[in-house]
This record gives sequence, C-alpha cells and structure tokens, in this order.
Amino acid sequence: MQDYEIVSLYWERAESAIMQTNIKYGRMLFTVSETVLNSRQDSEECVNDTYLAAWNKMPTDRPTYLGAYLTKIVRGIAIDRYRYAHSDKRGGADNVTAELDECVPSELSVEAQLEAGALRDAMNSFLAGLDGEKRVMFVKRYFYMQSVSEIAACMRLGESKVKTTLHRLRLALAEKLESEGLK
Amino acid sequence: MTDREKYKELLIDAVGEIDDSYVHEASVYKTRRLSVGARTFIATASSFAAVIFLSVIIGISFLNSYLNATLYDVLEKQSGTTVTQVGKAELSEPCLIWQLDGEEEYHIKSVSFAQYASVVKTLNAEQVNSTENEITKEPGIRVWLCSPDGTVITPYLKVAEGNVSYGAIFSYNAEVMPSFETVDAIRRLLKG
Repeated sequence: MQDYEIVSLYWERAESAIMQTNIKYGRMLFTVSETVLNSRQDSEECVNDTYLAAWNKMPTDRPTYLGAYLTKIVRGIAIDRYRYAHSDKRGGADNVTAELDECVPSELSVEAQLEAGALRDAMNSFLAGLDGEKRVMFVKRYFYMQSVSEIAACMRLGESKVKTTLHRLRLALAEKLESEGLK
Repeated sequence: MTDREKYKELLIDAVGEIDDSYVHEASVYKTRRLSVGARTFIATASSFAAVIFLSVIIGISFLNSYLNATLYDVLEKQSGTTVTQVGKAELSEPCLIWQLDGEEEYHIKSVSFAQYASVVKTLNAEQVNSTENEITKEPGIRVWLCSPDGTVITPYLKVAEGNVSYGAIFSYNAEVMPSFETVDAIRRLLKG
C-alpha cells in the first residue's frame, strides 16, 4: 500500500491504518528502536507507542514520507525511554553521544542552553550543504545510529573511509554551529 | 547532568528532528558502487582481458606478417639480379626467379640447395595435384624455383614432366595458390 493511502486511513480514523503501517514499516521501526535500546521487549513497546503517537498526530499531520515520519517518532520515543531507564546496557545511543562530544563547546554558557529548534535548523542547513553520499552517511550514523560497519557494508565503502568521513563531518558541523553562535 | 551532556542530548534531539526528506533519502539509499568483491573481480577480469587483448593484438600483428603475406608482398620489394631471359647453362646453383605483372624483366636470386629444399618440401601433395588453374593463382606475380639440374619448382606448377625445363617455364600458367608455408619458406630463403 502506498504511503498516501495509509495516511488517508489515519485521517479516516480507520483502524486498519495501524495494521498497514505495521506491515510496511513495523520491521524497520523495530530495528531503529532496538539500535537505540538494545532490548527486544522495550523496542516492541516503542513501536507500539509509535503507532499510538501516529494515530494521535494524524490528523493533523499529513507526512509525505510516512516511513521517515514514523522513524523520527520511534527514534524519539526510544531515546526518551533510554534516557529514562538510563540502562547500564550499552545501546547505540551511547556510542553516538560519545562521538558528538567533538561538537560540544568546551565552555558552555547559560546561553548555550539552546532551544532544540535552533539546533534543528542549523542541522538541516548543515545537511543541505552536503553532497548526497555524505549526507546519507551522516544520517545513517546519527539519526539511524547504525554502526560504522553497517554503514560501510550498506554503502559499499571501507570502514576506514566511513570513519574518516564521519570525523570530518563532525568537525564541519562543529564549525557550522560555532559560526551560528550555537557552540 | 552536566552542561556538556545536556548539549549532546540537544544535538541528538536536533538530529532526530531533521527534515523528513533526509531521513527518507538515507532509508532508500542505494549505492551504485559495486561491492568490494565485485570490484576485485572486475579488476582482475579486466587485467586478464587486457593481457589477452594485448596478446591477441601482438599475435595478430605477428601472424599478419607471416600468414597474411603473399608472395607478392614478399617479393615486391625484394631486390635481385634483373634479366630478360634465363638460359639453363647460366645456372650453376639453385635460384629463385620472379616476375611482377607488367614487368618484362625477371628477377633472379641465387639460393643454397638447403634453401631450395626447404621450399620444395612445403609443396604438399594436395597443392601440387590441384586442378584449379587461374582461379587460385596469386595475382600480381609469378614465381619459379629452379635447380641447376633442370628441375623447376614453382608454387604455381606441379612437379611433373614438362615443368622441368628452363625453356618452358615462362609459358606455364599458374595452377595453385602458394600455401602460407611456402610463402614463409620463401621469405626465410630471401632473408637467409
């Protein structure tokens, strides 16, 4: 079923919307959630929470890319759950958070307690300036939280190439944030 | 939670709010790049293909100089004593005689008995027994290989009675096309 058809089901408040969503995106959403949480049970709950959130958001939302839309929801829920649980398990979020340390200013001021909106805009602007391959690599790593080896395999690149590119992207992002007074 | 940790959380959250199109792009990304294994295979296959290609080119060039050459190619630029007629008494050793179409004179080059024999042995039974006449002769040139005892061998003529007299050699038409082996033997004879 096409994305717009599933979205229409949500708008029509048809319960089959959840079933169709699960058929098309259930596996992907579970994978994203499990990457963050490293827990099958928690991930399944996150996916169910995602369906509920989608049900509540549509209407009024009418996403063009339903998969991306749902992925953002499940990722947010999974990260919130991860933070709440503060599990000792090493999830994907730990590694990504550690890497992003390069983008954090050494001395934070009170003003640096930024609104997420400003950072989001800067991030979108940063991504818009990248070529497709680098942007995909960045999103796979820091949005989907895929491992370097997974990215290398998917993009048919060497792991060292991926690591090097990501390192340069983080430096470029830090520079971008600093230039916009966000760092 | 320290400010640094808080900032990193904000970054993580900001990544989570990027435009849907970027998320979609990454999820459907299909690289056009071949896998490492495929690239290795192609590189290896390309190397082999290049080697084979070069070998074929070199081989063809080499073979062309031999197999595709005709007696005309071999003898056209070959120098030799030029005469307008040949008498039996004038030959004390084997010689190769040839005449290009349109020329009145004949070119003569002395050869050793061994060289003479090397050409004769290339004229196999099939060749000398051919009944096809003008159709198969090599155009542009006529060739005879003569020995002092009166034998005349030519790629165009049977080794037969009537073909063994100097006095008659110029009146015979071609009977067979010289084989590659014959051409090659004459080439080596001239170089030797």
